[in-house]
Amino acid sequence: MSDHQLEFVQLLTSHQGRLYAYVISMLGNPDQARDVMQETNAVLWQKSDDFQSGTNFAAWMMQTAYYQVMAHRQKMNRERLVFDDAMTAELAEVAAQRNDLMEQRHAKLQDCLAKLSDTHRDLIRARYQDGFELAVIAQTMNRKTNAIKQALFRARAALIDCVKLNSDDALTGGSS
Amino acid sequence: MSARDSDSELQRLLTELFDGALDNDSATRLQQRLSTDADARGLYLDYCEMHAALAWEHGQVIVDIEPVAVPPEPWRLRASMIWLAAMAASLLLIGAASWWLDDTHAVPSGPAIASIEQRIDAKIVAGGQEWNRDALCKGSYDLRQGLLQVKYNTGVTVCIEAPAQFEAISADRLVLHSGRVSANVPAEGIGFTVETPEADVVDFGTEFSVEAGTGESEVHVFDGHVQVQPKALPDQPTETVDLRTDQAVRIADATHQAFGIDLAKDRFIRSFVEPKVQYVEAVRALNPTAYYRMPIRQRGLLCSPADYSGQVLIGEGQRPACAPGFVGSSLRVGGRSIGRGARVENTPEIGSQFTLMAWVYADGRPNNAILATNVTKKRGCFEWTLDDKTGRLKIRVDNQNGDAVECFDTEPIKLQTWQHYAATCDGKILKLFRAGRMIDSKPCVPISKQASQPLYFGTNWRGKHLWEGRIDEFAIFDYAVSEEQMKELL
Repeated sequence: MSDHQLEFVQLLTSHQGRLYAYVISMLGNPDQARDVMQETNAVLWQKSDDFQSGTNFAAWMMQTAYYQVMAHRQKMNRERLVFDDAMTAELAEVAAQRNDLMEQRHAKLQDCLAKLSDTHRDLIRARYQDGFELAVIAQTMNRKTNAIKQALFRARAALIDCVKLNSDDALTGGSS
Repeated sequence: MSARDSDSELQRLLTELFDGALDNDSATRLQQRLSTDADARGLYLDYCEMHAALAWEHGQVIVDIEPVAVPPEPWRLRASMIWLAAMAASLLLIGAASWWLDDTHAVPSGPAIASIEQRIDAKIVAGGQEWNRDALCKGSYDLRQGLLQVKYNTGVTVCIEAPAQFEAISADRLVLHSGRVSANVPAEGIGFTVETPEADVVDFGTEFSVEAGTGESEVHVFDGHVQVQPKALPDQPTETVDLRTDQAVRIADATHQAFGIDLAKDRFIRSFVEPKVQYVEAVRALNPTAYYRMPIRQRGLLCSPADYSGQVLIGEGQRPACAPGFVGSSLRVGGRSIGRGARVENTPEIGSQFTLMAWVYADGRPNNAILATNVTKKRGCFEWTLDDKTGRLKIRVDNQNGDAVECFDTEPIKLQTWQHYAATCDGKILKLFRAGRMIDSKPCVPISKQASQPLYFGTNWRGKHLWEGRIDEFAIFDYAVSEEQMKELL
């Protein structure tokens, strides 16, 4: 692998979380977003020789992802799309503006996870590490699915507040 | 608006989007909300970012990053496999929960059926109270935490890994409602049977493992011969299956038919004894100053020589702080285990020339997760961690001037597979190796010798940045092992 390719791999790898967030934002569908993300990676690789070291990789990546989302929307049945064209474009613009800050917020994630209540941390782990459905988590914890939905929402909300503010106060809500 | 102050409708829509399926009406409503409400739009984007960060961090987003135009098919295949694995695990939990909720158990009584030979951080509950006796009597048990080794008079040895629910029935029969057991059956124990909800597993002198409670049972034979007898369904005969060495089957609850699967060599704790194999002997031939083979011990982290032994750190969880290793067992950290890494107070000196070498297994890529370090506050000279941005393994060494020298892997650490890593310094060059091949090197001015520093595996000195996975066969040398020597090891 050449030095250029090595640098390219490093940039591509370090931006995958941001790419996924950007594509989900536009599509409103995590499954479709994974497919488009993979297609975007393939296109970025095809054009990797065009990328010049020192230029804004994130901007280039998001522009490519935007076109891939648009191409994906053309192929999809309209009924399977969550947003219309205007909303997609608006979300793309806002999401791109916020994307630079995501790295900074992501860096706080581990600390924020550690500050979650045990119940919330278990929920996040069951959902993201084990990949369990909410109904299964509910059965395991002997709680109703609706209660798990609310608790998981609050767990994510607490994490969002924490990574944005990095405030302990955001995490004292406990389990529900 | 704060994320937690969102209204119930928005909560419902976002939950459907990220944890279920957004139907057409809900999609229309979400579009309306986002187009008219800037706060809702902000929260939606916050949620997208958080979901993406958590999914990436926990290894749910697997992408092929290779210098080719990759069609999307491999992703879909992998995604479906993750989905199947999640479903299987889900069924395990459903089965376990329903069995426990439906049953009321009496305290086991009567004569001992098997002796408890070893408890590794084990918490056993029977009849609603903790079971601290050194034997199993006839009755039901819930192994909530840790690892148990029991031995029958016939010589049959069984390892049971938490979480597990089982019944001791007799000297030749164990009922496994859920969980994992591994049995080693000598000639005197032939006929020993493990019964699961789906099948009877009858042994004919062998070593085998069983996992039950997933709405299906799995049987894995590592040596010898077992007979699997699926339980009969009304009006539907089932067929007995003979399994030999290196064969495995799964029996589904719905059909009670057995079908072949791959042998899971990595999943079951089958023995408390560390085997001596070629790799181990080859490492020893290179004269390590300290060699942590990660054998199974109660809280202890054994080293050869013993002077450098340490302590396994324990926290909340169920699965033991040990797991099947590359050779024998390994140190398990994070996830659902009680393992929180390990600490060694008296450590070998790491000076200007050294080698750190280990087999590592990652279940996830947490930011800055520690493989090993001797840094505490401002002291110490090396950190072997995952890079916070890319999930690649890196070695960071402080040189004599106090500057940091870092070598990086070229790709994110692979998940759910054993990989061999090594870092060496010959007093001039710091090198990082994967699978015996050098992948990065940097000039490194000889490191000044320091007073002995505590050494941490799988955690930093504050108990943070936990590794998510396993660490095995960690060896430290006071010289730089060469690339040729490394290749010979592997």
